[in-house]
Amino acid sequence: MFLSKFNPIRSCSPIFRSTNLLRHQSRMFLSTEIRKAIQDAIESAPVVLFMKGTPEFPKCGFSRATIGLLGNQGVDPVKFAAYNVLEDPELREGIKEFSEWPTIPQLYVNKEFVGGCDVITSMARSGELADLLEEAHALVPEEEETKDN
Amino acid sequence: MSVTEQGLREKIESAIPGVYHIIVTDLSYGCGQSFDIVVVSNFFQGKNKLMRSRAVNKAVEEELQEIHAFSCKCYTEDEWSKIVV
Repeated sequence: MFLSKFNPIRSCSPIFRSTNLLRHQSRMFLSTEIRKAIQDAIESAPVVLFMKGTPEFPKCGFSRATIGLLGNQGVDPVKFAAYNVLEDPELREGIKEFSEWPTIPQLYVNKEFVGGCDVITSMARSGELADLLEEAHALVPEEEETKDN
Repeated sequence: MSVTEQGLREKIESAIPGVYHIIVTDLSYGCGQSFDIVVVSNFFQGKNKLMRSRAVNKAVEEELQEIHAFSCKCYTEDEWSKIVV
């Protein structure tokens, strides 16, 4: 159910905008341009997820689980952006090097790398994720949520 | 050479000090593409989840290039004793 919360997200967070910019780059290890494009993506919203597939149609169990967790926490769609690494091979490889993290999905909150699916799952269980998102003012405001219900 | 449970176990044991317990499960039905790992060591004491995972990721850096799906949970001996009552 909560997945539907993310529906409007895509309209306000287009998949990696700089795709064309990146495509014609020769294959170098994280050129300045790719690094810049990734940095821009990370700064595009308070909560940024690099994932396989889209929030509505995740193409990997780990990405699906992570989207589910963020939805459960009540992340405000307006504060959220998702980037589909399957759309861009250079983003897919680049983000691994950028974050020094070998797997996808990868979560950033306020430009800080938080972790992958396991880290996020365990932080959700301990309450750390809620605290982090709260501090980042990334959750749907309380009143608004009750109005929806 | 495809990645094996034994290979991952040895890499982690040699890289992480004081490994108390380690569980490596091949979820790939033998093709070496999907692994679930649990590492218990007091080395993780005082380290957050990200730092713990980074330590394990580094230990199996080469193998991770070949693995498609990789899940890793890291506990201290104390945390582990509360999980397996």
